[in-house]
Amino acid sequence: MTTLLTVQDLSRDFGGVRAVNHVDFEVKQGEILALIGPNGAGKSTVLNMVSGVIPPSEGEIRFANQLMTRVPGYEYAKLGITRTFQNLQTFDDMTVLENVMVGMHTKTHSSLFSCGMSLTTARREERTMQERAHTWLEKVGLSSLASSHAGSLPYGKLRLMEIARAMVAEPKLLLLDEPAAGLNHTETAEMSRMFQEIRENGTAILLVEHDMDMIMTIADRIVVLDQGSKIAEGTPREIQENPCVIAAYLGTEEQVESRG
Amino acid sequence: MTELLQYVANGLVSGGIYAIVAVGFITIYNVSKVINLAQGEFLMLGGMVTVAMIGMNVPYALAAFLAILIVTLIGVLMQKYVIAYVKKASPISLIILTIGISTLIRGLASLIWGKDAYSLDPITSNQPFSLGGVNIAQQSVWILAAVLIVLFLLWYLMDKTMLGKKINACSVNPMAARLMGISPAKMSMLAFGISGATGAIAGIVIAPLSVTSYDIGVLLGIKGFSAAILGGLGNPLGAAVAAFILGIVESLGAGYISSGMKDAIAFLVLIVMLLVKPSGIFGERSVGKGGL
Amino acid sequence: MKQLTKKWGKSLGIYLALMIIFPFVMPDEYYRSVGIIIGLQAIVAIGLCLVMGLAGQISLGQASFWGIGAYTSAVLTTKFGLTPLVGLVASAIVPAVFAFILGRAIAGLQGYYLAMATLAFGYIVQIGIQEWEPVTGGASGMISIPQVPFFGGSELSMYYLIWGIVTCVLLFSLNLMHSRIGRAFRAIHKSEVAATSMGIDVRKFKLNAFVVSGMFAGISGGLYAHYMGILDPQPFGMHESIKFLTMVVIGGMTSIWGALIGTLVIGFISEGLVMLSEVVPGLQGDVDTIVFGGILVLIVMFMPEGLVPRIRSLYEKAQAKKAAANAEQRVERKAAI
Repeated sequence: MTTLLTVQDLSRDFGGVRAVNHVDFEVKQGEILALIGPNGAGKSTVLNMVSGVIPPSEGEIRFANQLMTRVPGYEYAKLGITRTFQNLQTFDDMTVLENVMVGMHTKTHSSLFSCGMSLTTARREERTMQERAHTWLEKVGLSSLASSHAGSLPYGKLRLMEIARAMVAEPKLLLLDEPAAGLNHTETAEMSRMFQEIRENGTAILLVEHDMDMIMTIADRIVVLDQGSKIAEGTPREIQENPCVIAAYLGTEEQVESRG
Repeated sequence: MTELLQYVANGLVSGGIYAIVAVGFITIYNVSKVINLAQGEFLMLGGMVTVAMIGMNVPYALAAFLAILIVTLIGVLMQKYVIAYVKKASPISLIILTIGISTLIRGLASLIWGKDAYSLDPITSNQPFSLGGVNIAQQSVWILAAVLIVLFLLWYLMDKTMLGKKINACSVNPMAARLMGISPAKMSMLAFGISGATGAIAGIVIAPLSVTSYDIGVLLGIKGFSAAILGGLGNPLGAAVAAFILGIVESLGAGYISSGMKDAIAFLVLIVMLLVKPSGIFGERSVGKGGL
Repeated sequence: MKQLTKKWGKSLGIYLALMIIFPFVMPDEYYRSVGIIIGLQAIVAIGLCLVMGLAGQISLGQASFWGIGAYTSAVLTTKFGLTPLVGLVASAIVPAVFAFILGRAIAGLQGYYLAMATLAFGYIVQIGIQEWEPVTGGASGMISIPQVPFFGGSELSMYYLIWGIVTCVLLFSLNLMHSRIGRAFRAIHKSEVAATSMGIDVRKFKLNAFVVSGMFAGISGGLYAHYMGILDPQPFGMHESIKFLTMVVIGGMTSIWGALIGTLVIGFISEGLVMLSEVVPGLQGDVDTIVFGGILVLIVMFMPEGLVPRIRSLYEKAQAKKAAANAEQRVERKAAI
């Protein structure tokens, strides 16, 4: 399998505090890589750097053999990286359908003028967008809520909507920041199946998650961070048996489970 | 050479006034993270209320004192009943709110006093004196003295007193301040009061030199804000220095280029500054940059 | 979606009907001219709404684009003898270029910086018009600007010309709002981070909104110059910018219809104040300024979303209640059977 994303020697400081410290890992085409670690390990910071939200202090990120450090944030979607957010970034005053349609921004090209004049090309594109957005809403099970305002939806549904919004852009790499947070057991299981399906269709996933059941079921490989540094990498089985990881992370698993 | 010195002297006087406005902006901003776009109206009110009181045969000094008191009260009330009410408003709403307050005050002033320009007697004689060929109005000396005293008192209050430490605590970490028993709401009210008082003083001392009318607040407000940005918002000393520089540049521009363009020069400086280095010459703190 | 277009069609129908019959209900020349001015202001307000409500920016200098548009066409027609049509095209382009330059410069600014920069720009333009006397006539202004040769240029034909343009601007903006571009604007307003992650170039889109709003204001300004026949710098200052701001804020920043309704509301209030000043002799100063300032403060305090969105959400709530009541009835009936 070819490598899709290479993260090399990645570091990030926040006002003198090192949040991420010389981290290396790779994501291969069509795999699910999980990034785990206790709270404050720097997982979200890594995800924010890989998605171009914040620049790294040191190190390199390569995506499909392109150096991403100098690429502006809005180019990431076009190149094939989209994401969801841990603290939901939804457009509350738009409908669910419209939210998902925003995700297709890079796949559409009507100009301001043709949109304002509602020219045939713009109208045709609008219809295609609606159809495609509906397809994805169906896949995540939100079809019936398409015309509801996003602001009126419960937490769990919004997470699904964000996934649909990220997937309509047909990314090569999907970044997920704690997608299962706040979901119940059945919902999490459904979501796991969906991620496996997404992988089957050729999209690689970089997943930050606390839910161990989900990670152990779907992840091909796992990278463990602790206090900003990588402490282990391997298959789920290897990670479960790694003494370092058990000390740093799995020791707190009881808390995680009792919380879920 | 004399001409140049004359322009510099004029610039220092208006720069002093801008300095008070700029520091007023910063005092409020540091505590409450609100830019009070009605800051200029405090100056207008200071001058106009004094003029009105004197018109009612109140002695000069008492009129000035009452004007300062009234404007201080307006500042406090504005914070208590309007700004505090919309604590959780978005930045764009806060801008609209303070612009609204400023417009409202200006409108009321035009209703009460009309659109005429008024002038106030100078504190001492109208007779200018000459210093190495440069003509200086006696009032200019009063203005500079008032500016320096106000700036000094503010510095003393903020840096040397317990109250100042409390205000600073609110600015650095409101949550911790609250835990220490300091009320950020009260400190914010205090900041609006201080800005009102200093604004009123500036409005009173400038009135004899340049006439005062209902609409002088806007220009003074923008210029004070320019200085506050030039100096790095959040840094009172930097703002004061920047204000004097702005005053001198403006005066030189008015003298050597065109007097009609005087105000445009200040605004051009503002826009250029915003483009080149929004964090200011002296400061690194930035506002308005949306983080994650 | 279908429901949306249907609802939209209804508002549009009501709007068109009212707009067309107004001059016949109010046959007085004076009210027709008031209608024309309100139409011109509506064009500016809709443009400002695109900048503020959709892209989440603020502009306190919108009247300056209006002024640039007005003077562009006035100067081209009176000093260079061009026809008003050419002048009007230029009055759309020149302010858009100014908006592009200013917008490009300040696209990275937010919040207070943006507010102050646009306010300062407004002043610079007004000072510029006053000082560039050989071309603009300075403070005393310009006279004998030719009329637009549209069906003889009577008050009635001007009314329909201008409201026809208002309708075009309105439709353009409504279309835009429900397209990929409009959704991108609204996305930026809500979360710049999320918008960026979806491939939206935030700076570019803010700039686009700014340029379109400058262009709308310019078109309106050009029409204003030819309609009035005379120009002076006075109406293009901060007072007017605040007025436009108030229109957008009262109607509801996030709604294109809101901008139109807001313009009408402010138009009525302004007319009411004119009448009031005739009745109350001692009324001096800018009473309308007090009203605008008061409205801005009260709206932010008590109805931050503005009139149109507030009414819409009340209506939707009532509908939902009705639907719920109906459903309950049905259940009861079923239970009874």
